[in-house]
Amino acid sequence: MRGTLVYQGRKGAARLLVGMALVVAATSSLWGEGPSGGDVIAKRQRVMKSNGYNVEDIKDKQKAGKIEDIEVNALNIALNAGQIPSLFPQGSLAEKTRAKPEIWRNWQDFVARARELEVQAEALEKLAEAGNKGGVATQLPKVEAACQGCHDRYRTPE
Amino acid sequence: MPRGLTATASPFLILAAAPWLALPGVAAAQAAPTDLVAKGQYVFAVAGGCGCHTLRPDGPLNAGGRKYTGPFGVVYSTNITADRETGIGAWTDQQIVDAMRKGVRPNGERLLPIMPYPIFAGMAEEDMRALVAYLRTLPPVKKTNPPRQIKIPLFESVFLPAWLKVYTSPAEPPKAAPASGLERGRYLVESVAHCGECHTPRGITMAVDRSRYLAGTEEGPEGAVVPNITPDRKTGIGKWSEEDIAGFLKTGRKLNGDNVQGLMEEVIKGSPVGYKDLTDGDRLAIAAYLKTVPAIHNPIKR
Repeated sequence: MRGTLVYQGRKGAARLLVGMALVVAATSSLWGEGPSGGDVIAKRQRVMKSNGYNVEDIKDKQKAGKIEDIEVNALNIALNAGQIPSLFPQGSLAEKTRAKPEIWRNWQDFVARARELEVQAEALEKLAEAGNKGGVATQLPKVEAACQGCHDRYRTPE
Repeated sequence: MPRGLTATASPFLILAAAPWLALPGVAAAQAAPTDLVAKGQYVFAVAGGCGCHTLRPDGPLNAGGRKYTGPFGVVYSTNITADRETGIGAWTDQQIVDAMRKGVRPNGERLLPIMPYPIFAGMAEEDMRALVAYLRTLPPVKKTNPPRQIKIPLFESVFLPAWLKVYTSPAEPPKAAPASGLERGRYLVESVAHCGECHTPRGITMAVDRSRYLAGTEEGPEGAVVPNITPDRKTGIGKWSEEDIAGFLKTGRKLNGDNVQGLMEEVIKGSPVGYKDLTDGDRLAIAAYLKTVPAIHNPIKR
């Protein structure tokens, strides 16, 4: 049968090895480090750091009166927030993480809070796009409060 | 709690209060004028609500029992409520002042300078007396805390006095608490809020390293990671404006939008009063002073 002939002989062995290598490469992100591995923890810490840099940038732009330029920062925060649930796979606890096991005991609440951040950041995005200085000033604390709402419940102190 | 508190002494109140406060035992029986108590509550707030004296998360306020472990052994913070048996309710005013400035209990036992008495020695007399008056109003809590366990021989008689002599210089109190400006900020930071006790790294001897004042440490109290709050732009808070710093002391919200947690959260929220209860002027004075300390490059790994 043709399927059997494909992997016969030296050429066949080579095809098999190449095929296996391609499968490994394609799926390594799924099983390479595992759900509790360091990669996902490092990635989510970078996402949170990105949020922090964006908030600092927003405040600089507020002081400079560059309200419309804040749109990109709010967009970044909203996109980061959308990723949050996927960055906390079950059991991704390690010594270097401040995530608390309560995340997975209260998964629906955790996801809802990530969504809240996304919603508030999207609202900030619209206000910034419109150049609404007062609106941005009122909305930014709501974004920060959304961050805190999750931190207070699901993150350990430093 | 009372609003609009100031820390400026009223000469009349001090003169009226001073004679009977100086008499041993009298203050334990009589209630201090309420203005003095309100001022004392404010000083308590500047001191971070004396957070070391409340066991978290659920311990009764100010009833002590917080555990501190070091090369010396283990000590537990004192119950500073007005309970007469297990707190300081039966202490005289002078005995409370001696504990705060000299680190000596009424029974002669010496305190470890985890209780930063060399720092509080620099608190102005008016603030100290007001603080004592406020401490007398703390709801009494009957709570006996574990005794300390010191593992160094001759600790109180030899080791501790020698350590204090070599590594501390008890501060001198000003004639009056500065009322405003950089001097006010310096006074609050160094003699009341005692920021350096947590934010300055310590050497192997456990003494603070003044050459790296406020530069943060990864081995802070209770294992906390404590930030660099010098004006270094890369590793400290140099990018923060004075308003950012003052706002943080009120809300716990950092420049990057993150909320502080842990020990700093405790002293901002207080027990029950803390940094959040300071006046705008005092928080700005603290911020202004922090902008003047040497910028130290000291990255703190989180």
